[in-house]
Amino acid sequence: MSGFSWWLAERLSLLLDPAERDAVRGDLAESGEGGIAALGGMAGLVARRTWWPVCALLLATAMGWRLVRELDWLIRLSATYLWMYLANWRAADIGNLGFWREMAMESLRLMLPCLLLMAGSLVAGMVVSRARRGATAVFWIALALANLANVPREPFLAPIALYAYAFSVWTGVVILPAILGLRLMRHRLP
Amino acid sequence: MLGEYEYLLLSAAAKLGENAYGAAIRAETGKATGRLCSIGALYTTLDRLEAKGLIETWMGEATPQRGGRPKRMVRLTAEGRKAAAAFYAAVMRASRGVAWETS
Repeated sequence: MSGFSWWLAERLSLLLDPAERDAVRGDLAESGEGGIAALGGMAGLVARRTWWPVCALLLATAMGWRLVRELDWLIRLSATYLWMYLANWRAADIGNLGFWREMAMESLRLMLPCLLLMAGSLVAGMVVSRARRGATAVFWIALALANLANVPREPFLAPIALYAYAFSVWTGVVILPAILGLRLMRHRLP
Repeated sequence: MLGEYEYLLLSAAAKLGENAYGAAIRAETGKATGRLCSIGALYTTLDRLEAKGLIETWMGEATPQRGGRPKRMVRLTAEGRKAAAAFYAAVMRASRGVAWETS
């Protein structure tokens, strides 16, 4: 265990947990690994131990934030339509075929982004479940913070019912699919 | 369902019994596959298996050929044996009626 590669591998191993560091150095010594191979192996382990958790956390934060920004847009748009219909509703509309047709068209128009967002949340949940435990926590925190930052603005200032509506959309479109994604991937583990 | 590398590690640990530890498992899987895995793959897979409750690990004694460094000892749990058996059964079922040419 001499030479520059070994020296470098030893330095790199300082980034590992002390108990693991000794076990890994011992394994490399016992298997008679060459300096370059030992350095490659150590670098690989250190990268997995230190960089992947950081990447997973960044990924979880970015995905959580992006999802809520998209959801915020969806909630605003759908709430605006809902509010528009509620504010301008007349009893005569019930019998008006055009009214119902228009409402159906608007609902369909909102359905696609809604489905895309659900699929995005499902995939995000699946991806995050494969990362470290910390990443899952960060994902939920990012979702919650982004929601707090975005949702309580106009047009939700007036009727309290719209807060409930926003909350139900938020739960159904992002939270439930994300939980489902997490559960689906965890279910695969024995 | 286990991954194939997870299965290889479980099989090697089961074969080595009381002598299952990092370097020995790596050598055993190398013998089986003809290729030594990286130390990073070995340790992260051991962590994953331990997190799933399929193995238990602890620090063992140090030996002179390891430069006085301790070993990370590995033992299969009952769950680990069950998961490996299920994987083996699935591979056997999937292979039924297939004649692979082996050299």
